[in-house]
Amino acid sequence: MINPYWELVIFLVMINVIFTLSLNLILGYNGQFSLGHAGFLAIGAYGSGVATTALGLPLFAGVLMSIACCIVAAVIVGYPCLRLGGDYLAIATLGFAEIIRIVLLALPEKTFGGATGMQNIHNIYDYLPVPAGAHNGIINLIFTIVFSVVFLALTIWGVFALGNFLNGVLQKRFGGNFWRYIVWAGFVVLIIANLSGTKGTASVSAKPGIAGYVMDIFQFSNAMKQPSLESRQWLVFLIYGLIVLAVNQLIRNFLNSVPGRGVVAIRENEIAATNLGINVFWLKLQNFMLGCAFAGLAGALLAHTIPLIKPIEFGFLKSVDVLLMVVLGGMGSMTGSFVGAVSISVLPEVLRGVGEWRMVLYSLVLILFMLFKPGGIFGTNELSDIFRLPWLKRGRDAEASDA
Amino acid sequence: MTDQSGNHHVDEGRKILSVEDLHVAYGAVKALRGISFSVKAGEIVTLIGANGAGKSTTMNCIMGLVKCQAGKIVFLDEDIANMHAFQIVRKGLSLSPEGRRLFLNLSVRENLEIGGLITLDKGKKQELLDEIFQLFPRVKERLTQIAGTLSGGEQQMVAISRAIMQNPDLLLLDEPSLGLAPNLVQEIFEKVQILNSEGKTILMVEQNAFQALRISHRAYCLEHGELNIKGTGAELLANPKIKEAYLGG
Repeated sequence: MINPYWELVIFLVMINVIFTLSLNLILGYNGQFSLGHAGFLAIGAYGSGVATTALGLPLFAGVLMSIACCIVAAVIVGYPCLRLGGDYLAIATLGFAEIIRIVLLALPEKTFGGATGMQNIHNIYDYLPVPAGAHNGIINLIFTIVFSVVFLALTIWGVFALGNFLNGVLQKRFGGNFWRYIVWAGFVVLIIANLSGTKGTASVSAKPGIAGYVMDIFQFSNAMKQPSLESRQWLVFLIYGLIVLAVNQLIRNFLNSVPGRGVVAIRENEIAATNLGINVFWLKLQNFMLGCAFAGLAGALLAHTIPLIKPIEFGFLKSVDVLLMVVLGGMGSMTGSFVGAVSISVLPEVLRGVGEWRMVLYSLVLILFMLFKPGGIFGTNELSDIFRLPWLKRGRDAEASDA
Repeated sequence: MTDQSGNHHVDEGRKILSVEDLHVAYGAVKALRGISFSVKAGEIVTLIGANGAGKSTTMNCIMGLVKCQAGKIVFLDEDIANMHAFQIVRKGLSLSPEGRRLFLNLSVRENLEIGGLITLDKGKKQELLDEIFQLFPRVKERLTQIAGTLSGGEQQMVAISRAIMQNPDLLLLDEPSLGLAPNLVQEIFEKVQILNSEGKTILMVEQNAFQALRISHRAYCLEHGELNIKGTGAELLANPKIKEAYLGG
């Protein structure tokens, strides 16, 4: 069992990794200088916070709400501002983040908490079964993980299998390919089915949607309904870790897709990208929306992780923090984002002794990097570019070998 | 215009681009004062002229990077004047821009792939790459190198290759010989001629009038935003006025 202090540090590191990846997508890969990313983190945090408390929605819906709010905000900011280049965009986004902060201060205190912050947001642990002491930890853990993974895999496989079958039937009947519509509809049904769960309170444990009902039917849920504190902790680590990996994989896939290549082309040379048939403005906006959606996800996780969110935390310093993480790791490097986020998040905890001097250290680090390694630790390289490990072979390497 | 294999078919000798009475002004400065010219399928057409005559403006205006105040640009029976640049590219025009504008931090292969990103279907990609490697063996050698580390001549080859990767009906070359050593200039123009003999229609803007006129079927001379002299390449080479102004007497 990891003590609560370091537990929180680990959670914050994972959230910062997602947050950094989201800014890296905008700043590192597309070259758009957004200096108000904390504003989107705030929208994400308050979005999910309000959705789960005031509106009483399940956690999953809260997270989706955060992401939706951030995408809308990204369009509102991006549509006028992405036509501007460089510094102007930085100033505009900076102003936007401040507006968000002030608005959050001014919104009704009953719902949004005002300057003292929102305290009544359900913690991620509130959504898990109530703990029953420290016995039998490892068995519970294995049960929980195996069941979750198998259940998830089975439902997803079911959607695909059903999609294939129905598509075959429809194809014979009408002709044409319906596969994608069926699968999307299947996932919508799956999500709604999962939303039907109830959130837990101090005495009643949560039913996580259809998974909960299935557990009830099969009767092997006693151990799962009352897991040990340790297995709950590991389960949350696992969930957060999976989200980090999923975000990482989504961004990688996006960057290797046709629009993703276009995004990088825009960073390199906007006019040349236009000349190659890329709709520069629209692609910049799409990329901005995607980056902000991930920032919203990070915000939602943050709201359900720390005990209290207040507007002052989402100020200019937070934007600079994440900028520092991206620049330190290397703009345009996924590995760099991980390294930057982890080091900048853990460093202040290790340097607790120096207190407020850490801001001075931050600036010193930035200046030293500007002088000696302007590209950051990794530049635009990935781990696979540096170590040439065969199982990491992809992108540039793989192309080089088949050329 | 496109058959199932993705090949564009344009009848030999048909007008594929015609510019009619084009006016472009940068604020009060008139860069083009009503120029008209046309390009037929299978031709190399060259615009020559002094600095500031409006050559690059013409190219940029055709590609939609500069808005025109009046006039028509008809490409394959469609008026493309003042369309968005990315739409024009999707119609089948592609430009190898002045100063090359490569993606300097990406590898040569990535440059080429981004070249065919939007306009090319997958099956055609390898075919075009092979074509390019045959034309420019040097590009194949440098495939994994970062484009910014190439020499000027190699960068120009990559820029032209990137334009070819879009499989255009009309290839626009803006100053392909800019800043190259004389022997490289020779090589680039030979390649342009080979490209043309393989069926590409080419509109070229050039400072190096002598080399450019030798390979072009037709040519126009641009002066102060107007087209004054036109004719076949050989005619312009023999024209005393051109000789005096551009070919050094």
